[in-house]
Order: sequence, then C-alpha cells, then structure tokens
Amino acid sequence: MRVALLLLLAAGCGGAPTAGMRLAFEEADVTRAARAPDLLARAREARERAEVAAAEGDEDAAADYATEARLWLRAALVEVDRLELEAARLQDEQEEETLAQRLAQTQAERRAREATLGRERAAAVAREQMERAFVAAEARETRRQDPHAMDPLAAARAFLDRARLLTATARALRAPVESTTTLLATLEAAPTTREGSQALREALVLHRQALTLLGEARADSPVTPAVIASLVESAQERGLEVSLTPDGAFVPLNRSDVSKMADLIREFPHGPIRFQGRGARRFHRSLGSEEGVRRGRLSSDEAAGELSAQLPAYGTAAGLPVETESPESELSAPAPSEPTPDAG
Amino acid sequence: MMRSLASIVLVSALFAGTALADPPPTLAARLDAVTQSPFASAAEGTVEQARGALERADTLRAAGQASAASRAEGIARAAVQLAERQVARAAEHTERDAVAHRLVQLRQRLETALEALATMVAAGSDASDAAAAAVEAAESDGEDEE
Repeated sequence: MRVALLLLLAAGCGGAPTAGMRLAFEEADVTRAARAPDLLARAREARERAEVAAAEGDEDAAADYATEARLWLRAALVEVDRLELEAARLQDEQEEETLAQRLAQTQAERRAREATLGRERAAAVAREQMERAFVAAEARETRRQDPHAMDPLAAARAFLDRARLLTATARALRAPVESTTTLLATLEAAPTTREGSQALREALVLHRQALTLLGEARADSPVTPAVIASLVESAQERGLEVSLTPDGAFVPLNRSDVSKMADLIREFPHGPIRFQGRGARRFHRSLGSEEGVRRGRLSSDEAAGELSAQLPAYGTAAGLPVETESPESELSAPAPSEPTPDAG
Repeated sequence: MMRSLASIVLVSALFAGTALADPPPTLAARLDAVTQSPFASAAEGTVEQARGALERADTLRAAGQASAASRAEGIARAAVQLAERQVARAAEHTERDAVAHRLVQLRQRLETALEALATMVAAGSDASDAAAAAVEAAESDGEDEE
C-alpha cells in the first residue's frame, strides 16, 4: 500500500493574499479509509494543520503535520485491510460451521445407511435361509428329493429360530402373555439334535403355532402398508408370488401350495380369502382341514383359468387415507352375494 | 493460532487502554507492547520511526522548543497507532489464513464423506439388485421344476 500525499503549491495568482500550500490525499485512499472514520478524521485534522502552517510560512511545522497526516492515513488504510480480513475470516468461519454441520450430517447418513445395509444383508441371509428351509419342509411333505433343500436338521433350527421371532412379535403386538410365554418355553426346550426329519416335523408344528399367535395378535390392528409388505415377503419366502392391486393381493397357486397358503392365512388374519380358477373348490376343501385356519374366511369360485387366491383386505390402498368408500372396505367382510363360504 | 489470538487480545487491550487502565499507557509502553507481539516484524519500520519521533520530542522539549516537541510527539502518536494497526492486521491475516486452511481441509473431508456416501448408496442399490436377481433366479428355478 502506498499512500500518496500530494503537495500542491497553489500559486497566489490573481492577487491572492498569501502563497499557500495545499495537501491532498489520493481520492481512492480517502474513499477506502472512510471505513476507519476516526483515523481518517485524525489524518484530515493533521492535514489542515499542515495547510495552516504552510499558509503561515512555517515550513518545518507544515512538514511535521504532513508527516503526521500521512501516518494517520496509512493507519486508517491498514485498519481497513484488517477489517476486510476480519470480514473474510468471519465469512470463512460461517462457511466452516455450515460445512462442519453438513459433514456431520453426511457422516451420520453414511452410518445410518451402513446400518441399514447391514440389516438388509442380514435379512437377506435370513430370508435365503428360510426359503431353503421352506423348500426342505416342502420336500418332506411331498417326499421328494430336492437338491436345493436344506438339511432337515438345519431347516428345523431355522423354523425354530423364526418361530421365536414370530412369537416375540406377537407378544409385542399384545398377544396373550400366557400363550406367548408357553410357546417360547416350548421353543427353548425343543431338541434339535434328534433325527432330522422328526425334528423338522416338530419344528414346523411350533412354527405354525407361532404364525397363528401372530395372526391372532394382528387381527386387532388395521392393515398397514408394512403388514402388506410383510405378506409379500412371507409369500416370497415360501416361493409364492404376490401381485398387489387396489382390489387386493393376488396369489397364483399350484394345487400343492395348500400348506404354504395355510401359513399365509394363519399369519395374515384380515378379511376373506377367495380361491378362483380350476381346482379352487378342492384347494378350499384341503385348506379347511388345516389347523389354525378359520374356515369362515374362505370361499371358492370354481372356474376356468389358473388357480389363485385373492385377499381383498391386502390391496394397495390398504392403510392409506380413504377419500371415498374404498373397494377394500366393501370387501373386507364376506359379501352375501359371494359364493358360499367353507365348502369343506 | 493461540499466539495470534493472544496478540489480538493484546492489541485490543491497547486500543481500549484508556478505558481499561488509568493512567493510559504511554507511547513508549505501547511501543514496547508492539515489539513484544509475535507479529512485531510487521511494524518494524514504523516502530523505528515512532521511537525516532519520541527521541526527537524529548530532545526538543529539553531544548525548550515545546511547539516542535509537540509536533514530534504527534508524529510519534500517529506512528504508534499505525504500528499497532499493522500488528493487528498481521495477526488477523494469520488467523484468517488458519481458518481458510481449515476450510480447505473441511471441504476435502466433506468431499471424501460425500464420495463415501455415494459409494454406500451405490452398494445399497447393487445389493438390492443382487437380491432381486436372486429372487428372480429362485422363482425361475421353481418354475423350471414345476
């Protein structure tokens, strides 16, 4: 920074009474120094004294005051520099704070995603285990050898583990404490070291009891999107595919899917279940003999076409705000015009 | 950073000297404070000029030239003020540089964190894709068997 102090000799032309000296600051410096008004004022005072001294012919005094004026002006300009640096620093500090918050949020989000990913992976592993366990159960039921089937003993352990989780969920949903306590105790005591096929059979019985308990506990709560998602997941674990529509959940079936469907009916207690298509009546009858399946929920419509089940209470609109009367509300209870329930 | 903060406090105390202490520090004391600052080098020339003006004022006063001594003291006062501002500016400069440096580091850390998050999101969707593919594969296996 160079402070210019112009020394102008104003010649007394035109008959001026005195020859004087005029000190001028660079305009740009004055403009800039205005942000330090106290110091600029001191500079101006010193300059005025210099001018007066010059006018009085006191050159030493004029030079001293001019030096002082120059120093004050420099001080003002340095102070403006400092103020600008301070402003920049404060701005940086604000940005620093913003970035630090963003960093913390980003790190928190990453940790949350890590946790979610970990849970999803664990769930995927568990789901895969259960899928293989269901294959083992199906193989046992149909007495077929399936290369994808899990070892029966391992499958039994998987069903027992799942039954514990289902029972705990049922308890959280306010299932009767005595029932859940008894079942949990039975599950804890269930031996898993006996012959595989027998262990699997016993584990399946307990698993079904747990499903029934959970279904009974769920019955008092409305169907929510989370429950529907759970239905889809449970069906997929059993190798069943679910299509969701506003009219309900549709499950294409094979004649051999009776046990799988029975499990879904136990676990998801809302509304009727209609079987349609070829073999619907027979499927309906077979289900009627399954333990823990309320027959009053079932109806069938023997017709041409693929066999499927419709669960109207689990349509895509379930759990969402209803603007007008929704199809689900009409279908949530068996309609009088529907085919006669419980053909079995 | 602590040194620069201490210096800012010192200089601020000098600016507010009249309010903080009674009597106010002399010009010589203020000059001493400036020279003790970690940023004294920023005001070296000005400090010399101030000391010279103070000595000249003493000499002139001793010689009975009160008016000239007063003017020399005026120069010394302005020079001391300038020296103090120079030290304050240097301290602020250092402080600002430190913040700017931290800011650069923070930007880098944020960039790294955002990249890590993006990788995580991609990994999540990859995992979802893999799971979907596995389900599809399992379903098609089931269909094949039937």
